[in-house]
Amino acid sequence: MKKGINFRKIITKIHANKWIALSPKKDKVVAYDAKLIDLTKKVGNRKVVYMKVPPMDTAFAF
Amino acid sequence: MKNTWIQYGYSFPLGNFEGFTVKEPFIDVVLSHNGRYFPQLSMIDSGAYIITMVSDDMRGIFGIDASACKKVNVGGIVGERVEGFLHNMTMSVDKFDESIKVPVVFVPGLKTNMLLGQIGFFEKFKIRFENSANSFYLSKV
Repeated sequence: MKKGINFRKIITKIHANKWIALSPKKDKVVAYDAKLIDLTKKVGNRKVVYMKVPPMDTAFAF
Repeated sequence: MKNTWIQYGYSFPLGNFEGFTVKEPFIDVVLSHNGRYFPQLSMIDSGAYIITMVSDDMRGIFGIDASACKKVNVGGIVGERVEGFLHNMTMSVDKFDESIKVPVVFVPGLKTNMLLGQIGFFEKFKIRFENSANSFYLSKV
C-alpha cells in the first residue's frame, strides 16, 4: 500500500495559507512562499510536489 | 488497470479540529497543459460535486489567459461566490499509466490547491473509501 502522509510532522503554522514544495518522498518542505510563481522560482529544476496549505485554525468543507 | 483496485493510505490532517483526528484522501497527480507539468498533492472531494477545482494561481503557471476560458460561478457552503475560469487540462494520477482529459475550474482565492470533483474524476475512476482501515482505493471505470 502507498502510505499516506503525516502532515503534522512536516508542516507547521508558518506554512499556513502558503504554497509549499515537498520533497519527492514528501518527508520535508523544500521551500515555501505566499506566491506560487515565486515558489517555482525558488524551486528551480528540483523535483518537488506542490500543495497549498489551508488555514489551520478553520474547519473547511471543501 | 480496469477492475484492479489500487490501495492508498489516508494522510493525516494539516490542522486539528477540536481534538478529532481526521483522515484525508490525498493522491499525487500531475496536471499538464501545452507541455507544462505541475506535480501536486490533490484531495479527492466528493463535496466538489460538480467539477474539479484548482487554485487560480496555477493558471499563470500554465500560461492560460482568462480570455481563453469559459467564465463560471463558483460558490462555497457559506454563500460566497466568485467567477472561476473553466478550461480543459490533462491529468495523470499516481499508479495509473494513462493520462486523462479533465475539465477544471481555476478558482481565485481557493484555500487549497486542487480538489478532485465529480466531472472528470469521479466519472473516470471508481473510488472506495475505507476510513476504518486507513485506506482508500481507486480503479479505472
